[in-house]
Amino acid sequence: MGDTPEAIEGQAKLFRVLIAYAKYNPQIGYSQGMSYLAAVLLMHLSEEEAFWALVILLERPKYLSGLFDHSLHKIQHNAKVFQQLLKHRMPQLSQHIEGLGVSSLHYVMPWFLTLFTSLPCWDSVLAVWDLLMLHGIAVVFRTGLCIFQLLEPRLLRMPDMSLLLPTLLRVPVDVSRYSALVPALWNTEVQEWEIDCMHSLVLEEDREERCPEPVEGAPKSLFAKVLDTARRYLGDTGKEDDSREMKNLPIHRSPIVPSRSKPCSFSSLRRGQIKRRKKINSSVKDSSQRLQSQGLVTVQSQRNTITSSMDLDGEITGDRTPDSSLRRKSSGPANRPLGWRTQTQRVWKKSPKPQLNKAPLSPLLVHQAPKGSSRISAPEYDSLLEATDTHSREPSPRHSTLSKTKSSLENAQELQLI
Amino acid sequence: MSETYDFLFKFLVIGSAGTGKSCLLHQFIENKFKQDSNHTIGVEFGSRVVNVGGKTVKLQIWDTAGQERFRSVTRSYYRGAAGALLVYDITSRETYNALTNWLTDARTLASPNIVIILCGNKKDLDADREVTFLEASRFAQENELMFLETSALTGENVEEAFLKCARTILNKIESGELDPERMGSGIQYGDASLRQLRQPRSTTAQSKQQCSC
Repeated sequence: MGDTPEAIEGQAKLFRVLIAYAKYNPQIGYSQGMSYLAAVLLMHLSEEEAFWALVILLERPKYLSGLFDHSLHKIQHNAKVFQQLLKHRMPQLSQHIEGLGVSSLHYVMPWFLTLFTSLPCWDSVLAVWDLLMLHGIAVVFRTGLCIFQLLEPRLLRMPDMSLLLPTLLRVPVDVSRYSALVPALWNTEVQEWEIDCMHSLVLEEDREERCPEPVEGAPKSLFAKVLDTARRYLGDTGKEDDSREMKNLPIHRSPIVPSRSKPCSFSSLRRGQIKRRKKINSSVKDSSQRLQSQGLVTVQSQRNTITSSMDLDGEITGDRTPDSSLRRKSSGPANRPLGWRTQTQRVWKKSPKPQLNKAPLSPLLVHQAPKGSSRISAPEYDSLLEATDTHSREPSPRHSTLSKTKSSLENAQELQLI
Repeated sequence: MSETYDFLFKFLVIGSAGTGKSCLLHQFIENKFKQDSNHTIGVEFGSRVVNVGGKTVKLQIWDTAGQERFRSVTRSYYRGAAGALLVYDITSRETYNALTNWLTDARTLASPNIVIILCGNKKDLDADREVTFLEASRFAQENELMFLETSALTGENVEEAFLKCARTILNKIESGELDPERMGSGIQYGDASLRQLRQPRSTTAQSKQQCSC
């Protein structure tokens, strides 16, 4: 750590911030791992600001609340959630890793407790932190998954734990490098609802482990369980409609539920369909203007209904067979066409919502674009659709350049941050 | 890539926070002192192949976090360990007093036949000593532990600690006291075909399933 006056002063500051937090919240007190977080904050903020930023980071549900509890339940739960995520997104790798006896807890714990501060490339650490400030804890899963994607070929070749685990605990420089990690992060999509879905799945499994119920009829497959969980979590109100859709649609369509608007990415739809959708959307816009007094919810549910019927259309025309979607899914994000569930979807998701939950961590977020990201005006909306269209027709390489993803407004926001 | 060895032993490094567990491991693996050592979050891992009594043994070493609150997690690593380094800091009586707890954990959670060596670390800081050699060796004797004072800084007795532990395990295997084939012994044969016996948990069927969300 060095004996220079700056280093000594830095350590003293770190010590004071950590002591202050331990006194501020004696229930949590001091935990190993906090020093990593406080140190990053101190590099950007004054001592007092760093303290308050640490308080927010450790206590807001959006960030790390509960993770430093004495019980460590939440971190163990999150490890299971990541394991499920890996199982679904990268089944082959997940199987390989579990086969070598490496539990997700081994590598997930440092991710959550030190937020990737141990990555060997500092600019990448800061990029991850910026994303984390913006989107919250889901970014940890996203970054973790991204590291796995980059390491996948290497990990699959490793025959035992003594090679694999150190690689995960000390991510190699070539993968951590900004030019490798950050573009990959852009291409890795982990939605909040996806994490929530895995959370429920893990909770259900825990419950079943504790009190195994007598099985009614045939034992449920994991797929059926996920479906159930997703349906329950998403607050399935339109029972009839949705159950029909659930049966007919490819599996990743489950988010078509009124209560949480998660319109599917239509980047893989054909051009004609997109045009039709545009038409419908413009009518939605018209009605939205008319219905403004009734609030956004109405608009949202309308759009959902339309989205659903569009999806069914796609199904009938054989645009996406369940088979192909299955294949895409199982091949993992590494081989996934870029257009599939891209950032655009997130813009859709955000558009009817108010602005992001802004944490008072402003000193770190000085570059955040304050306007224009929460709602999308009509012309922007159309240009977005155009952009998506082009996007879907262009077979992009896996590590597409940042400029390719600029079509999404939120990406633009992220871009400014990074 | 994969070395050939006769046995594989699972080792643990346990003890209170700040006693120098990670530095001991680093010194053993890299042969140098880890200058700016950070706290271990959860667990660290290292392995090295050593030669003990004419046999090549791969040591698979799990270095655990020392802070009390991590115990609930680090305990899960104890299962099936063949040997352990129980570390305290000779300049801190507090870390010495905690040894009983660590010992109980190790004996109950790892295999009951686990071979433990007590390491009084930071031997180089003799001026600040709070625990005498005699006192600690008496404790070791009472609890049937081997004992060494080590220094991760100078490297004194570090290699010896790991090797002594490995040698004892090997002797116990040869005398029949330890059975490598018993589940959870923390010992595996190096022979590749035998290693395959330890099947991974059956996750195959599940992982084939797809998610709907």
